[in-house]
Amino acid sequence: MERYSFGKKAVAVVLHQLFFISMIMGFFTMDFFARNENMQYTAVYGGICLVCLIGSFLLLAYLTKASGRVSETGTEISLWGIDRVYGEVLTVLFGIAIWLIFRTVFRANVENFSLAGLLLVAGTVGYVLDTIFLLYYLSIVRRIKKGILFTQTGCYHLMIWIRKLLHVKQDVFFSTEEAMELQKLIQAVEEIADGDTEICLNVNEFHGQNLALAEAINRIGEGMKAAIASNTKSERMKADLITNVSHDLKTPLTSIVNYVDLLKREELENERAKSYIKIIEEKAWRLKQLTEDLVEASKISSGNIKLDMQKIDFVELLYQTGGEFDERFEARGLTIVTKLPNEPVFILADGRQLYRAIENLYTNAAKYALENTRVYVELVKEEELAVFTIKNVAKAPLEMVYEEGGNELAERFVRGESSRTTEGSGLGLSIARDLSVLMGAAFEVQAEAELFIVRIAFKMA
Amino acid sequence: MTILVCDDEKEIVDAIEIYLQQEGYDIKKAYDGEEALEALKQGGIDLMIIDVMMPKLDGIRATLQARKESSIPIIILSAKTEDVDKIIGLNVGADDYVTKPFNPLELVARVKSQLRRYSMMVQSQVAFANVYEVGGLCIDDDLKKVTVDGEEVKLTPIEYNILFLLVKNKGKVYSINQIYEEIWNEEAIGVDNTVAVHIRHIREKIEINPKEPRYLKVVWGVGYKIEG
Repeated sequence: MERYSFGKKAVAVVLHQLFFISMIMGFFTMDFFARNENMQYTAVYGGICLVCLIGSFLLLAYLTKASGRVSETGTEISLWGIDRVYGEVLTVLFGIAIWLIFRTVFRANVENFSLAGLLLVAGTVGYVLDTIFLLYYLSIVRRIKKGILFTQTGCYHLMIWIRKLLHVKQDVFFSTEEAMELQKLIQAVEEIADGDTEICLNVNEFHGQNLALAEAINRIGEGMKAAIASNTKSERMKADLITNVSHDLKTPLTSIVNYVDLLKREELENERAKSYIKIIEEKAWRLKQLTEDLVEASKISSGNIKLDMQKIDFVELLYQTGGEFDERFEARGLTIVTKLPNEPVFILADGRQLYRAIENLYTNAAKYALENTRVYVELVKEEELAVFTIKNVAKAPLEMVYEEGGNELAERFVRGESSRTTEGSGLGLSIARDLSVLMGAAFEVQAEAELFIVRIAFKMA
Repeated sequence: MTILVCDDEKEIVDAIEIYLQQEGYDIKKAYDGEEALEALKQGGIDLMIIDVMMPKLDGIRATLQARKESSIPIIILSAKTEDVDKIIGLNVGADDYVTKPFNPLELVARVKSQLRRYSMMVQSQVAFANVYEVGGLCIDDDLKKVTVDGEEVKLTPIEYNILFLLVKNKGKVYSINQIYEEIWNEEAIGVDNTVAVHIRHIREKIEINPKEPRYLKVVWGVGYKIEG
C-alpha cells in the first residue's frame, strides 16, 4: 500500500490557500475598479477571480477525497485531535469565528482604503478565513468518513447517559409495589432454573396473585430438592448394594479358589480332570476380576470416588505404564510403538486414577489386539490440549452398539463379538471413560472395522 | 510355631489350615472374634490371621482388643478391597492386609515374612555403617547384598544401583530421567521404558505382591520412591 506522502496534501492545502487568497484579493480589486468605474480592469480581475475560484474548488475536491486517508488505496481513516471535539462545540466555535471575521470586514470602511491597503486586508482575511474553513470542513469530512458524525456529539453522549441512568434505576424510580413483587418472583424462578434448589421466598412479602405464585415457587424448590436427594440416595444405595453383593460373592469364591488349588495339588492321573480343573481355576479368577470391576464401575459412575488432583507429567506416566506392560505385550507378540514429546507435558489429574484409566486401555489392547501387530501410543500437544491416543488392530471386527439419538458408544459390557469367551469383564473401557471424564478430560472411542482408537484429551496445566 | 486362624466360614479356615500345615506350622482355629481373643489369652500363639466381617465381634474390634495385650503379627483377611478398609485395618494395629479371594501362595509368603520380621525384631540387630534398612528391606552396601525379611534377593547390578539410590534417599521421589542420569551417568535424551521395566523387575523380586508394593511405590506421573 502506498502511503500518502505528507507533502502531497500539504502542497494541496498551500495551493488551495493561494487560490483562495488570490480569489478574495481579485474580488476586492475588481470591486475597487468597479467603484472607480474602470470596467476594463473590472472584467480582467473578475476573470482572474473566477479562475482562482475554480482552482480552489478543484483542490478542495482533492482534499475532501484525501483527508483522513492513510494510504491512496486503503479505507483506513485516521483522525486528528480536532475530530474528538464534540460536533456542536466545533460548529459553534466555527460560527463565532466566521461571524467575527465578517463583522470586522463589514465595519471597516473599505471605500477609503488605497489599493495596496485593500490588498493587504483582503490577503489577511482570505488567509484566516480559509484556514478556519479548512479546519472545520475537513474535520466534518473525516467524521463522515469514519461514521462518527452523529456519535461524536455532546447530545448523543448525554442521551446514552440518561438511558443508562433510567435503565439501572428503573425498578426504583418507575415500579409499583406489585411490579417489585413480580421482579422477585422472576428472579426466584431464574435461580431455580440455574439449579439453585435452596430458594425460599418469604410469603408475607407478596399479595394477591403474586402470593399464590410465590407459594407455588417455594413448592417447586422443595419438590426439586426432594427429587435430587432421592436420586442421590438411590444412586448411593445402588453402589452400596453392588459393593455388599460383591463382598458376599467373594466369600464362596475364596473357597472355590482355595479348594481348586488344593485339588490341583492332589496327584491326579486323569489328564481330562486336570484340564477341567484348569478351566475352573481360570473362571474363578475371572469371576473375581468381574466382581471387582463391577464395584469399581458403579462407584465411579455414581461419582462415589475422591480425586486427588495434582500437577503431573503425562509423559512420565506413560513411560511408567509402558514399563508395567512391556512383557504382557511381548507375550502376545505385540509391538508397542510409543511416540511421546521429549519434554514434560503437565496436566492436572489424579495420577493413580489416570493410571487406572490408561491401564484399562493397555489391558484391552493386550487382550484384544490381533497377535503380531503393532499398538500405537501417542501423546501430542494440540494448542492448549495434551491428547493421548492408543490405536490397535482388533482380533475380530468390533461390534458397535449406539445409544439412542447419539453416536456415542454404549461401552458398558460391549466388546468385540469373539472376545466374549475370553478373560476380562468388558467394563474396562467404561471405567477408563468415567474416570477420564471425572478428571475433566474429553474421552473418545472410535472404531472402524478392525481398527480401534481411544483418545483422551486433557487441558495442559 | 502356632498360627491362629479366625474366619466365620469354616471351609476357608480349613483350607488355610491345610496350606500352613504343609509349611510345618501348627494351627489353632476360631470362628468369631470372641473365640479368637479367648484363644489368644491361652497363649502360645505366634501369629493371627483374622477375617473382618464376623458375628459377635468383628475382626477390626478383635484386633484392637488383641493389641492391648499382644504384639504378635496380625494379618487381616477381608473381602473389603477399598483403600479406606485397608487403612482402618492397619491403623488398629494389624501388620498386613490380604484381600479375598487370596492367592494361597501369597498368604503363605506373607505369613513367613511377618514371622521372620518379628523374630528379627526380637533378636538385637547390630547396625553397620553401610547397612540401610526400610522395614523388612535391608541393603548391605559393603557386600552388595539385599535381603527382604532376612531372605536374600538376587538383583542385577543395574537393579541394585537403582534400588540403592532410592533406599539411600528414602521418601524422595525420583523421576525416570533423574534415575537414568544418576545410574547411567548420561544425559537422558529420548529415554524409553528401560527404567520403568527395571523398576518392575525389582518390584517382582522384593515385593510379595508386585501389584501392591509395600516398599517400592509408583507415584504416577511423577516418579518412584521407597516408602518406609
